[in-house]
Amino acid sequence: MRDISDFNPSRLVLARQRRGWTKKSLADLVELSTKSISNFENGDSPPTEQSILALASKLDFPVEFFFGPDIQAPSDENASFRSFSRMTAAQKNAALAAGGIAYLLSDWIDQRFDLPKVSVPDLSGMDPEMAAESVRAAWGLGHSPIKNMVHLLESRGVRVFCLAEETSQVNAFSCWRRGATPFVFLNTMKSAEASRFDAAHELGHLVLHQHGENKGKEVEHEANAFASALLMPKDSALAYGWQCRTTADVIRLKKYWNVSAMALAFRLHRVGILTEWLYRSICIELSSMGARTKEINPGPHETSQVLQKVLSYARDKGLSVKSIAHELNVTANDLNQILFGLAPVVIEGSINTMGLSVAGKKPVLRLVT
Amino acid sequence: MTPKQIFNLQTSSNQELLEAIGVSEGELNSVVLQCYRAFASVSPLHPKGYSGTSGWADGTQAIRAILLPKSWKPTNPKGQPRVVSPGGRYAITVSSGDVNTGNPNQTPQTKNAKGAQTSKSVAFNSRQGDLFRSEASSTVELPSRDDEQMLWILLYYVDLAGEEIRYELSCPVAIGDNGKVDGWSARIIMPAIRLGTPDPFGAPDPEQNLDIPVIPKS
Repeated sequence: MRDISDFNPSRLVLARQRRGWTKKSLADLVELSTKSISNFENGDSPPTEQSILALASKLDFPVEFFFGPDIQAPSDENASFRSFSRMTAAQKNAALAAGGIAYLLSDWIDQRFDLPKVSVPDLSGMDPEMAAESVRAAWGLGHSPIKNMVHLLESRGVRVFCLAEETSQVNAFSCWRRGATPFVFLNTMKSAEASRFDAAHELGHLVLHQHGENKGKEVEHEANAFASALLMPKDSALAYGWQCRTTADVIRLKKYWNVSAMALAFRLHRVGILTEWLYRSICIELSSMGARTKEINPGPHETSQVLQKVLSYARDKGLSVKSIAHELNVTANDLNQILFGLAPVVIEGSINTMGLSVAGKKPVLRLVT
Repeated sequence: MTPKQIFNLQTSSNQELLEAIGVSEGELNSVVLQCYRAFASVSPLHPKGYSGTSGWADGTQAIRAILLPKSWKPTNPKGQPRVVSPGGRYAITVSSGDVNTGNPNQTPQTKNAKGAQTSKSVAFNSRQGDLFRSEASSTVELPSRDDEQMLWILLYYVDLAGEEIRYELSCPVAIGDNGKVDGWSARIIMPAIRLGTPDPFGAPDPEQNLDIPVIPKS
């Protein structure tokens, strides 16, 4: 056991928040008072060795985790959160804490690999449509559909992780770490189209809202307008969408830009192809087909090239996710969750070794008789 | 837009006629696109012939939804769905037409035989026409009566083979033995809406397979 004075209260906060627990629920689990937990977290009095063992066990973090340097998780202030009101505080904190674990992994990667330099333009205050065109111009994308949003972000130095919440209630978020490195956390449980839009939306926040307010209706609206324009540039929407008249046309055409039917209908309305009336009717038809909850004719999910390459190199050196987790003093499961859907992961207790296309729930083994 | 009370069916431009009636080209275009969207959403499992009904029904809904905020009112004389202009002078109903719809060199008919209300309105319209033709001034002041309006039919035809929708706002004045409207005193023929399945998929797809450098540090 380490010297108890090296106990790092901020790591206890992060571990507890990662599990989505209140101080009270943690206190109940380890049979201590809420006051004691508060004291540990405030640094007023360190836990006893016995308490640390109990905390580590219940929180499912290695004991060593609580003795590292401060972890700077994304904070409420610098993270852009969509649909803020739909999230509970516990969900939000759990997602931010997972971001802290992603920071740990990202540091581990940066120490061992050279990744593309960050080149995300700062277009604060620009009109979103114009900003999307500027990003396309700066990155040489022309007017073509974006083949893979995750790869595009990674090629520009953006770190992409899964936000590790097993619910579609939590949307993607993004932040600038220390003002220098952009991170995007995606909900990989959503449809590929929704996730691509989220990625473009978060890029919008990184580009437009690096300095200043990154929450609220107005900035969300701007990030949406940016995403829409980035994924479906006006000229290509006009060129290929001008004959779009029916719901069937929308469903067929959406494959070109690899966006959701709803997003395309909105865009075609926005650029003036679908009249207000036609747009509304198409939305109603799409809704009645269930398109708001489940994408019609969805495409394959995007994965991370950086994480896959890193894990592949590591594997060649004999390092599994589990051993990387060991080096970082977290559980393999905590790493798997931030990799889920972006890179192949082994889920404990599972025979299926690919987290790529399985639903986000932990698999349950059943005895087949 | 305040509808004019007097206009000349023969010499007024389409634009003037539309202004007099109180509808715009864009509004009619929206209605016809709604007709087509509903027409095209009918599947092979729907009752045969339902696409026409579907287009007509949604077109009726659309023209009312667009014009009621402009003080038009919905009426259903003898079951015929119409919208009536704020002054009560004009009424519009939506109907599918035959292949000659939108063709200035042919005389279109309604696709289906029409009922008693259309016959009544056609007789009314044609009396206005008689009046018009007998007037030296070549203008006609349209009467305003609560129970009768000058009826205009928004006639549309989906030409799948020709990949276009043709439509016109026309004033019916004759009904053939088959019960279909086959004579018009004025036809405001609108530019056809081009169809054709949008096809971007043949467009060049520049290579975008990004190979992201991830270089192990030595």
